[in-house]
Amino acid sequence: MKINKIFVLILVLFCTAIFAAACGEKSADNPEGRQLRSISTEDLRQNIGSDDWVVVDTRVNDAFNGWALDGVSRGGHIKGAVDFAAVWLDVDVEQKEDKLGQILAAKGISPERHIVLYDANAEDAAKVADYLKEKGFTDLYQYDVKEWADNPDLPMESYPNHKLLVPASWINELIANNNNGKPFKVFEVSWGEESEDYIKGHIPGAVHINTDEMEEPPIWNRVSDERLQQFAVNNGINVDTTVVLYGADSMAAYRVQAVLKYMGVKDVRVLNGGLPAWINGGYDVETKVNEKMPGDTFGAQVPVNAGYVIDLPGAKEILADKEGSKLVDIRSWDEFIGKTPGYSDITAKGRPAGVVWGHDIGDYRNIDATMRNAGEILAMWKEWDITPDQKLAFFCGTGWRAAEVLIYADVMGLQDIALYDGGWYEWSDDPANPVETGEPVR
Amino acid sequence: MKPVLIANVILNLVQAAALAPALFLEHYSTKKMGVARYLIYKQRVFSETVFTPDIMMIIKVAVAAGLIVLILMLIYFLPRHKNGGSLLTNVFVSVLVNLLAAGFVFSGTGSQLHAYHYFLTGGLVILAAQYIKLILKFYSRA
Repeated sequence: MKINKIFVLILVLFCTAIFAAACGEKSADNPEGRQLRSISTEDLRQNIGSDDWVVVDTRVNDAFNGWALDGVSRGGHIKGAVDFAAVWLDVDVEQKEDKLGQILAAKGISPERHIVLYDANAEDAAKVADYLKEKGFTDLYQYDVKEWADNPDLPMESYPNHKLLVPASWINELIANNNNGKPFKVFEVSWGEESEDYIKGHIPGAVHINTDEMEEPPIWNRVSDERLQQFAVNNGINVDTTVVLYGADSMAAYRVQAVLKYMGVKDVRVLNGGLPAWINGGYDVETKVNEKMPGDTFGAQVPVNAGYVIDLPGAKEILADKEGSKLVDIRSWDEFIGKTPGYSDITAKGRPAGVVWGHDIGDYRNIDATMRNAGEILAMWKEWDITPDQKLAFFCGTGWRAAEVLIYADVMGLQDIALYDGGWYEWSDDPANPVETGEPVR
Repeated sequence: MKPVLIANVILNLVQAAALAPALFLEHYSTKKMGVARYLIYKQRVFSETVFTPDIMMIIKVAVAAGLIVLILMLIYFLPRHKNGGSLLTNVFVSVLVNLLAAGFVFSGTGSQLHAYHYFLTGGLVILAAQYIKLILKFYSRA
């Protein structure tokens, strides 16, 4: 009898456990439990811009910038929206939670406000909502941005030159369609004859560009215009070639993009977010080494866009025009104030006299290494009286970080922009050039 | 003789470690852009300060002269130590080390190394230590 009672008890406990598990699973599958409140287009239109409402674009950065992805009829973001991409929740970075928390705070996404999360694929908003709920957010709405985009009377914003930065899907289509018969090249850009990044895996068909092909010691400026012409021919690049550049970290790609634009290549793009964006998009990489296929001619006299990259005299002209121009320092604060030279091969510390601080490159990138929201970039610049109506030239140590910012400025549609190629390395090499250190008086 | 023994041990350790920095830098010169650029920068600095053409000429003359002296010593000691002996061995090793140093300094291939000046410094340290060991060997026999 005693054994029977124990058996019955075990059976009851077992059934209870199975019942509880089934209920939990049903709850998870139950769309009712997961579903956000929806908001109508009219309500959204009325509340956008109110202090107690935040509209959040949860799509990939490319969609925010201007690409019409996931069946949306107009590219870009709802005017007034901030960005918090669902894919940011999947990045593998140190101190991720702290960084995500800082991002939420910086964009005003707080539990005290009404939060509208919008997407176009019925997934991103829900993913971000789940994350925010864990953080204690309760007042959440979802919205399908296709409704907004379909109404041309409702304002959407996209960056004038957003096509300089491309999503992985665009490259995939380019390769699949062979660019509809028009010439194109895909390059992985990094330093070194044998690049570990390239060897580990690259976009199928991509050829490696060693940055030493287009810049040289002692100060690592771009090589002469004649050698740049040869560099283009060696890599089969013509002014009419659609050139796609990327890297594991795309800074080198931006450097080459800036120089190719200076040379006159009409269509140069960089993969937004670098190789991780390709891999996270679910696309395959290959390890087969693809050899360069030289061309016959570049097709123009280098440089076609001489003002896109300037040298020391140009930098001095900018400094002389205090109101209309700014020479913007894209280095760390410690480099700017002269606490550190920032490089093992530069000993001088400080900055050219009269430059303004434009923040280090990390402040221009989202957590997934895509381009930061233009509104936030402009707000960052405004603190240092850097405005888009001025002539802006960007510099760093040897022109890599500054090139990335130059391209972002180009994406944003700024017209009068340039890269000061020599940077701090060139400026500090001549003791006659005036130098400042310490925190500037503002 | 104990101080001589200790000195020899120290000199052997110095010789063993002398090329380590050069090997490390040379290895990473093709893997890390920062190392490559640093070495190019240092090559320029060394060529203009420590290893100027005049100093390089002095180094070449000293290495060549040292090699000649050691070969003469070898010729002198060889018939007197037909069965070997630690002094003869020491002279022989010194000739070899000096020969390697001369080969590095006089040939053009050494300058192709990214960390050339570090190899040069390490090589001169090894050579100097070898000379000191030889002198100590003479001293300990006296």
